Amino acid sequence: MTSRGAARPNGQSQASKICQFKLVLLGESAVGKSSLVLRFVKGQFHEYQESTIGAAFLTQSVCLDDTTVKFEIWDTAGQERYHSLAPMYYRGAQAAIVVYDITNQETFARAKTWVKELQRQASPSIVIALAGNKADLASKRMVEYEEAQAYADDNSLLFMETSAKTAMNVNDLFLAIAKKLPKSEPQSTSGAAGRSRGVDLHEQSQQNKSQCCSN
Amino acid sequence: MPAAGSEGEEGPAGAGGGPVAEQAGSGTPKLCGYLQKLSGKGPLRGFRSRWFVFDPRRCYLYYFKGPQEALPLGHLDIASACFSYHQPEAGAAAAAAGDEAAAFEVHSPNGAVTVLKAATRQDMTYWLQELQQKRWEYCNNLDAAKRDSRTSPTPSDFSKGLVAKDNPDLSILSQNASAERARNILAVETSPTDLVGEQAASQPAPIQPSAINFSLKQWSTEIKNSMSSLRKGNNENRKSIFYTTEEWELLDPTPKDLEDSMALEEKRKHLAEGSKGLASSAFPFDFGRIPHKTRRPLKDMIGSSKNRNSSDSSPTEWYSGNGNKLVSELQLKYQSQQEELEKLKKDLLSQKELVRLLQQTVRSSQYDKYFASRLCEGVPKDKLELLHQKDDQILGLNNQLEKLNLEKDSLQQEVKNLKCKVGELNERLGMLMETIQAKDEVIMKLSRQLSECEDNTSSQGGAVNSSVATCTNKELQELDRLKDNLQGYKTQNKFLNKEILELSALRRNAEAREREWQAKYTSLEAKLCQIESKYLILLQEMKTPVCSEEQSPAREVITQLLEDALKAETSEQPEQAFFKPHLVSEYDIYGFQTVPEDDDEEKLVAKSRALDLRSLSLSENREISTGVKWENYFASTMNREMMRCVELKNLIRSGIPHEHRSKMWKWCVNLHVKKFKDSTVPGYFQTLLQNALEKQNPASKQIELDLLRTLPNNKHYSSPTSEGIQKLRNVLLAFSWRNPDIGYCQGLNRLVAIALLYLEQEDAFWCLVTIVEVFMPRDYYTKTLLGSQVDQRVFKDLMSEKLPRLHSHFEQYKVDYTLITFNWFLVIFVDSVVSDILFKIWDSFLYEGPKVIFRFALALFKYKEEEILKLQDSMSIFKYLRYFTRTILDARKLTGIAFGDLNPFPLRQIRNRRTYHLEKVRLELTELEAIREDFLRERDTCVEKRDLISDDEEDS
Repeated sequence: MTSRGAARPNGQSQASKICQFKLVLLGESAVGKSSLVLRFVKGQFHEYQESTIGAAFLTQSVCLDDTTVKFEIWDTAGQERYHSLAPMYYRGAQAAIVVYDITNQETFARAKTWVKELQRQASPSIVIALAGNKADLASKRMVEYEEAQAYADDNSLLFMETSAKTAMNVNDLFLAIAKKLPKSEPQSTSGAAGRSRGVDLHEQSQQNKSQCCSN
Repeated sequence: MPAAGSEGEEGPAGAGGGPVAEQAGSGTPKLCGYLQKLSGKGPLRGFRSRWFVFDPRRCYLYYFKGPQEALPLGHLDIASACFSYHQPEAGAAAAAAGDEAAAFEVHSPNGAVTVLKAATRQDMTYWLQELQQKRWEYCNNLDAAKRDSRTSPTPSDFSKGLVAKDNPDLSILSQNASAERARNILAVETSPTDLVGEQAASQPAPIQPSAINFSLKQWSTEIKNSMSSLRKGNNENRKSIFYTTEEWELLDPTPKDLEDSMALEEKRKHLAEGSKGLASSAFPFDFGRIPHKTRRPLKDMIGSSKNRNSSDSSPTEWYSGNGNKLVSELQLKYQSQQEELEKLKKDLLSQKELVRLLQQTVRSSQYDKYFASRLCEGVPKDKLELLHQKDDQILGLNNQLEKLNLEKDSLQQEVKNLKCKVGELNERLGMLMETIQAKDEVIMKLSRQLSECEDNTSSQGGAVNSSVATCTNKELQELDRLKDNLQGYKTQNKFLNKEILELSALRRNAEAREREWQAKYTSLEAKLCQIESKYLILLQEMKTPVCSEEQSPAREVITQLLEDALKAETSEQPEQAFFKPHLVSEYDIYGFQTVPEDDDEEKLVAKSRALDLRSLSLSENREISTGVKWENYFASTMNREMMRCVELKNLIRSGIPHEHRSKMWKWCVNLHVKKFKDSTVPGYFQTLLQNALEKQNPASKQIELDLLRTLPNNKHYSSPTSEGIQKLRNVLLAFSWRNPDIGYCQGLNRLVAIALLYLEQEDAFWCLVTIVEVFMPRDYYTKTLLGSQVDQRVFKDLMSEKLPRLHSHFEQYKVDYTLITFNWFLVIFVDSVVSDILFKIWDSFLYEGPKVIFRFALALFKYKEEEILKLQDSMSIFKYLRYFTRTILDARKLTGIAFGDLNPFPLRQIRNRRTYHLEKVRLELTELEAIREDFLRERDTCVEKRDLISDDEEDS
């Protein structure tokens, strides 16, 4: 909301660098992962967002100062039995958004296990953001902001309460992630599972590959 | 009436006598039956018995060698045909007059005339009526269908599932209302015989169908017809005839009756002649019933009865009947009077004789007395005394004589009186006779008139006229035959009138349609010109690029075109609405939104996609479409059960038409789950459902969460109150109870939702059972989705084999396409391809099984192989993979690749691959699970208590 224009630059601006990041969304079923992505990518919101099977793939770019950050977003299915597929998607991801529903305590607990799993099995340098979605339903709140904030602080996560419905904090969240990502290193081939991509948009970015790992 | 001999020929056709027409399914009875078709050439030309079946979908009348035949010999296009009675050729007329009566012609638009012959006239009428009706319905539906090739012109008779109910309103245009009325008026009541209808198939073909079967039933129908149609007009006539029969009972006189009446007639004439000129006085006969009529002059009476309508003949007849009785009474009385007279005359004669004798006695006694007086003087006293005695005697005798004379006089007077009476009687009789004669004449005249005018019964005349009596029977038959013919001609006339009416109505409709088309065509042409001119401007601008980015005319044109493109569907000028081609409707026939509501970028793409699809389907329709093949297939299976065969497989691969999909899917599902179904108790699904609605299970929560997140772009699932949502819940819940190992897996909801579009709740449930338990390998939807993951490995192998170039291209850019294709397999392409193709894939999937998924997955890649190969980075490849499946619109091409180019495609190979990969994946998963468990244990011991409860963990 705050920077919609910045978040959705369609024309190629004068940004000198283009960074590409793989971002994965995780979280319990029906917490609003797909809605967050849809709001971020298309600026839309559907009351009845179709449940995701397997995973959905979307892309979006944000402009940060002189850098264009391209997000390659993998929106995963929330149901527990799709859990076994998750590694395929978070493997090699530089960023992850773990989403929970502020009106549902269980989803917060599940978010915590996702965070743990990511910390353990994903790329060590992965930027994890915690998103308490459905902030518009504050009257039904079950997860206190402070509780989540404290948890995020403990685990050094980015944290925001968002609302895909009202667009609150959605773009900010992605922008915050973009900011936190090592801009100089858009092409990470050094993820834990090593699923690299072969596109080199800017030659100069190749040189700083190792930096990411050492972070 | 035709010769009585024909009754004997009532062969196999008349046998049976079951119900007239079987109710086929839920709809109207199927129109089918035996007819004779004139075919062959030269000397072989003749009628051949054929089994005819009317197909309402195409309005064709197919004919088979017999009801069990699979392939029709041919068909008649009823929609554009007209019918007429068959007029026998002059030569053959005499021989086959009876046969031809039941023959009719079907004129095809190309000028061909097919001569068909029904077993009976009644059958023929039935056929003609039905065919007219079908043609009417079909042509009107054609109007209503708005020529939208994507909606089926005929309503599906198998309305199941959510989509199948979505038939377009088949409202009949108002201009047809009057024609419709007229049709109803002209309609002829018919009831088919046993040779029509499905049950007729079980009967042998009529061996001698040319025989005329005049059953009583038919006769009654014809009478019924005549009564119902002639209710207003000459009904009175008929009434009078029937009354006549009641009164006279001479319609079919026996010879004895005739003799009697003849004798009576003779007698009456005699009497009339013999008793003329008698004056009337106290006449004992009772004329009180019609007193004023008797007094009317005869001429008047005749005149008035002539003037009167023939329907009034009944009183006259009654009167003359009464006269007969009077005459015979009169005759009897007259006879007794005459006898009395004779007796009196004899009496008189004997009295006269007596008087004469007495006079003689007196004379002789006087003579004696004279001698005695002379003697007295001289004779003794005793003699005188004797004389005195004699005198006394004489005196007494004289007295007696006087008395007798008096008596004689009175007798004579009496005789005179009696004679007067007799004369009077005779006169009366004569008058009556004259009356009777006159009346007889009137009757004869009237009956002759009657028979002449109406070809009516001559029984009256025959009864009266002794000379006609001998040929009465013959005439009666002749009369019946003529009446029959008349009835036939009337029916024919009525039918032909209706035919003319209907044809003109159809012609009017066609003209209107043509005008409409013309208008539409013109408006379209104008639009095309506009677009073309804009396009040319654009081209021109492109050729000479203007440097300034700001305001080039091209940009303007482009923005305008953009506006137009998006506007077109929303704003429609009302006056143009009628002529505007409805190229893209809001929802497709499956209920999916064609254009997303709130996405401008997507909108344009979706619109162009919808237009492409439309143009594809339009051009496809011009060729012999799969629809025709399906019609032919159904025509061939009209008489038998559907069977698994290569023909059907190929047909299904080309796609099942919308209107048949419900039926075919149900059939396919039943084919696969038969063994499951057979082992379950009746009401199995209901029991499961009951159970599920009463109790919660771990799956219920997730099911509830996903209900409204299932195909939200389909109108049948778009709101909580949608019918589909409830059904979806039921099926998913029931399944979670049937298969607790799977319970509910996200994705199953889409499968059920698609199935529910064409199937009823319970069938959709069995469809899910088919997919999950019959088609897919074990563990496809269970906890770890093991089977699904295995299939992705198998698919990779197949890709490298069938599309090696593409496979290495993906390898090169490290693109794991299984991240995308995983979905295709799990939910069988739901949401991945355009709905037209989706349902075609499902058609063959439900018939053939899971191999179809591999075929189509490979085909989709092959279809766009070149495009993918052009992409040179992983992100754009992924981006492309995400949506490219929706850009594929040509189902025919795709199917061609899937089932042609990719062959050979042995299932064995897939099975082997599956077994191979299963072990590997299982190992990897166990490894992963071990790591995860290690980690969880570690964390448990570490810090906080766990409060995580997920549905799946509750399961275990």
